Amino acid sequence: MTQAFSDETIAAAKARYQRLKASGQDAAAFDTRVANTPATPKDVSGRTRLTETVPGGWYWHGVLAKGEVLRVSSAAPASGVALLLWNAHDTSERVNPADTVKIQWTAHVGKGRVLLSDMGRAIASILSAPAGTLDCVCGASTPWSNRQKYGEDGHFNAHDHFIKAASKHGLGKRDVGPCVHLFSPLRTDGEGGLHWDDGAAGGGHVDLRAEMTVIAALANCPHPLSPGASYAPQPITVEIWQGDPPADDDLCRTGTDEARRAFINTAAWVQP
Amino acid sequence: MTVSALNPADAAQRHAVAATAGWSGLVRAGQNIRIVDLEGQQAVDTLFYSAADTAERYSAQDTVQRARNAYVGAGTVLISNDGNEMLTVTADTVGRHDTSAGACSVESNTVRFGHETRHLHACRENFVVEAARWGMTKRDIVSNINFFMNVPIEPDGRLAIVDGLSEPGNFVELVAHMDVICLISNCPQINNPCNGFNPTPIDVLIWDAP
Repeated sequence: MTQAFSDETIAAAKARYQRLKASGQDAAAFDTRVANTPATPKDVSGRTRLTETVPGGWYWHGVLAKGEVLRVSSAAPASGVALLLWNAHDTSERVNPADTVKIQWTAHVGKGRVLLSDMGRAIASILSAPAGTLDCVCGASTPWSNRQKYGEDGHFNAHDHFIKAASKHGLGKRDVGPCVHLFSPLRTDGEGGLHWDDGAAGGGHVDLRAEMTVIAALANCPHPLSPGASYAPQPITVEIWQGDPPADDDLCRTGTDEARRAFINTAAWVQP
Repeated sequence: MTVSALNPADAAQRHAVAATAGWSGLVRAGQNIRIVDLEGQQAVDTLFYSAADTAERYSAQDTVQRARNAYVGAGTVLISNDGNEMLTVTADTVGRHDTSAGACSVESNTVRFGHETRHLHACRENFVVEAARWGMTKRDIVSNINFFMNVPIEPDGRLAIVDGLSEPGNFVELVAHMDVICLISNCPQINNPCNGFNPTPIDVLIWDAP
């Protein structure tokens, strides 16, 4: 067999991986910290610089300065809202759902986790979200998925909305990569089958703190695996406000060793 | 697990891809491409782009969404970001391949394994070099398929790269439904089990349409 590394190097790498995996998958300590971290304020209306209602089936896009918080709220049980983020200063850097789940050792992404960019940096922190409701695996609606799900054409879909939102920031189809789907409790069974968890709480709000200046796009179109045979996305509210400066023991920045290292990378990159 | 009727002696092209190296090439509609894990447990990070318009490319999310399954295997149809069928997996002697965990990078290695691992070769380094041959950049790199990489996603959400299932000589085979550019990174990662902690060579074979 071909072998480029010494047995000693290989043994050390194996041992480190087992150690990282054990600590990365130790949910108890992390879950306790999440539970002990106070919820973000319910009413931020006195602090917002933007409050906008996005009708069901529509989309929203905008720029968040580093440190600003984006809240997406749904009064009704939500059927999912798709999200893309780009680094506003270098749009080749964008949210990377695969790195987000791989690096944090979990596909159940929620409060206390971070969204990672393809450059090993935290692009946004998840200050608030029902546990395991940010789907990073299954993507968003497309003309094809709407046709399959609703048996007809003509409903707005996330794929087309993302291209429109991107275009309004000088971007195009090549910049529309894999997305994160908010309010989407996707579960994987033992065979890899993908299912919507009907028992998960619907609605509420997701708060994301921008960790660099970002372009954000939201598509308020139902997740392809969401329940409901008719196309009936509900309105969402988008609010933006200046977040509190993160404390030294900020949950998202210090909740895991991986997050700490991602924030070292974020801090090392001096924004123009 | 499925077997193939194709005979390696009849292949129109055979490309030996060294351990840790990148490769790219054109696979025309109707051609079959086989990727052989010569020594076993070797992740092969793979991306496909429409040769006619590279803005149309493999979409991991659309592929798992359409299959309603997180893993790639025999019968999986690879879907593009425009919803078109790009290729179908026609043979697979392993049984399960990942498409949710992406490719390793110099940058993500620092987050996963510590900053002391920064100066190690990585898949996205191979991808951008191969992409450049076809006029593409980092902007065009999206989530890929990891052939021969085993990443179970547990019902409780836990996700980890675990020991590969492939044995020496195992392969996957795909038929192309459109002309595609195939980018491969023969994964150089030595910090996790995706290559058995020891990157090894692979073969890529292409058969002309019957």
